[in-house]
Amino acid sequence: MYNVSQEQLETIDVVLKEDLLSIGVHCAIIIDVAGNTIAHLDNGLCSFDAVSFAALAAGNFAAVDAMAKLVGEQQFSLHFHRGENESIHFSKVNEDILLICIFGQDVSLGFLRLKTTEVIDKIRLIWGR
Amino acid sequence: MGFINVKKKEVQIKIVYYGPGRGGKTTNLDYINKKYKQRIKTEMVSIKTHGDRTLFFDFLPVDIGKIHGFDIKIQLYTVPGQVKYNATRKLVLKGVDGIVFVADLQKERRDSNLKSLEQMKENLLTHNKDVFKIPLVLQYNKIDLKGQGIPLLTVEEMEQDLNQELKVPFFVGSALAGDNVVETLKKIISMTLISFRKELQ
Amino acid sequence: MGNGAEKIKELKAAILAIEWEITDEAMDNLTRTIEPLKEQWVGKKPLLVCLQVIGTLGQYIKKAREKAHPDAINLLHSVFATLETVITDEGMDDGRKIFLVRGAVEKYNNLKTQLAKRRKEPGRESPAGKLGGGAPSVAGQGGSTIRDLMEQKEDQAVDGAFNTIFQEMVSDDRAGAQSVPVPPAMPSVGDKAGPDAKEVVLARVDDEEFPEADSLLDDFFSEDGLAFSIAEAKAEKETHADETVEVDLGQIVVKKEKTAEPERPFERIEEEEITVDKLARIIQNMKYGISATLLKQLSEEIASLRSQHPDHYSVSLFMEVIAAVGRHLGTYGDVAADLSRNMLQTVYDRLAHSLFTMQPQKNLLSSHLETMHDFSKWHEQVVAELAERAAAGAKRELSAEMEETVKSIVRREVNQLRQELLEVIEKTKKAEES
Repeated sequence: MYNVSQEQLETIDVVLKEDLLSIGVHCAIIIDVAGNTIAHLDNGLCSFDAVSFAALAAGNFAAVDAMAKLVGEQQFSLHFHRGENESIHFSKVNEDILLICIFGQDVSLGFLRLKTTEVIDKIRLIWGR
Repeated sequence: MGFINVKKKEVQIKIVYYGPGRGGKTTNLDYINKKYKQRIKTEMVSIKTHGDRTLFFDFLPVDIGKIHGFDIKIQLYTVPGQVKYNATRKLVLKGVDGIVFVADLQKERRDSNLKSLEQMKENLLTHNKDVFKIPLVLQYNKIDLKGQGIPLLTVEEMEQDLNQELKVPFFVGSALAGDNVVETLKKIISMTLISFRKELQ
Repeated sequence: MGNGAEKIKELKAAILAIEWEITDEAMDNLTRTIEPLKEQWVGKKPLLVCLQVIGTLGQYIKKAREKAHPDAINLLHSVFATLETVITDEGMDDGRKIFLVRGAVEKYNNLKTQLAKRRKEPGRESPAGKLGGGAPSVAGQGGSTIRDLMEQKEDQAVDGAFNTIFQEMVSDDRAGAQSVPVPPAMPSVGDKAGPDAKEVVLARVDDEEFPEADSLLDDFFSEDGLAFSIAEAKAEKETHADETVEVDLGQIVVKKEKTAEPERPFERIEEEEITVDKLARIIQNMKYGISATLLKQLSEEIASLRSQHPDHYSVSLFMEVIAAVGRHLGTYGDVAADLSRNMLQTVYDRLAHSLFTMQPQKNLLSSHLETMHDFSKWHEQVVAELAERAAAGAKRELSAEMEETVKSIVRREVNQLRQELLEVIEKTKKAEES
């Protein structure tokens, strides 16, 4: 069991808002590998079941991680699903937590990847090692 | 691993139903979901195969209310019971806070119960968890088959097989009829919350 | 022009690689694929302009990395799309081509203006910022750049013009990026993160009781008001099995029964289901800053909830208080803003909790009383702050409105209490008689 301070969570929210929502990401979620939601920020237009989403996302990430090991990779640190209107980008922050971005066609994947790299660095700093 | 969100004042707890295939894990969740559907505001998610077998997991989030100002959010998972899915079972056990082991009372399933419990101990070890330390409840399921000509194990036999060393609380129940389903769940949540208690005060 | 698409195949691949991942290598590759095309297209101004814009943006993005303006990436793709159209559409006349390219350059200049504005923002000042006296002159320079590009004969001049612009863009953003590596609030928090984040291994505790937990569990799993029998459970199980036997491999079955079936009412609760998710989101968003739009959304949502559930007694008090605080923020947003935001959240929490527990009567009374108490405290504070700094006229006006609200809430609450009290007395009497 672990515990994150209110200050940490608020700082994470600020980072998600300033670095991801600001470039047009529809929804940014931080979950742990057990499927718990740690932070969830959206542009006010997303209306899906975030709890189930987190459980499935954690399961999905864990499954792909297990596949990586089967083919001799340490891990696939990035997953990406492209949809017609919404795409999902998963990345690993550290052993415990994942960052998930849901974004539309107006956001360039390449740029999002740059941004998430930056955000992950910041979150690691906040989270502490 | 349970998660305390200080900002939202909530505690997220992961409880996994584990046990041999066709033992009634999903049925336990189904019963809870149906019985308390007005109180459980979210929906149950199942990833299934043909023929209604669990492929990955079932997932049912239940918000039970507040303790010391913290919202207690329980997340119920089942593992797929079929032998071939052990990799998946390991994944679902990641971050588990409490376990309900659903064993099958049928005589012919005796071996499966033993194997499943043994494997669960190993799987927990891969996550650095000790079966003797994690909150755990046993459920001896399918008592509704009694008197239907199907050979069943006695409670003593079950205890001998599964609980001799563990010495954890157990319930004889029927997931299908709902006997002791709620009691099992209440017990495991209560045990898990006790181990969280210090964090909540 | 022959097979135009073939000629820019490599450029397209380089652009797609950037779409996937922005690395130094991908950006250098872009520059490399542009060079041979420049030589091939000597004299074809519209094409060269596009190449220049792509090249310049590419270098800007490479240098600025994650600090780059998001529009720069989008523009890069859109200019390439223009170039692709101009090249592959063989029937297009030159006038049309120039028109399209002009549009692309226009967008480029807009971006440049935005970057100039960005650099003028406080906190982003840098030595390069004093260049040229702000947006208008830069835009003017951009205009002359178009003319240069479209009319000048020397390709060198084209390079020169863009390089200047590029230098401005890059030097500036890099300077900004280096001086502000992380948001101001971050470093200190990072330091504190260690001790605050704790990991605890859960251990089974056999001989301990947790009465609060047990009573909560008893409440939640109580049989009260559950019109549900084992027979039904079985029946439902059977129908459910029928429904899902045909489920495809790996398909996610989200059970919809809950919404399909009418809710069985609990005893003592005659109130209908009420959804406050939207309200939660609005109040949540207010934490990040209060805007006129949010306040409008708040008052609309309250109005709509009220009109949908006119008789929902348990929430009406909360609604009333939220609406009153919202009105205050709308009129004097700067007076006791933090307090008001917290107030909104607290009241919302109580509202959500009363809905959530599904046993509103149990704690509703105390929750209402606490809300009333908070409201009076909040009201006092607002009036005090107004007295301190607002004009006397405004104060009187607000106070009157506030007092009216408080009075109406108190009046209703007292009536309600009286009624409940009477009911209890009635019941006690009956019990005693029998």
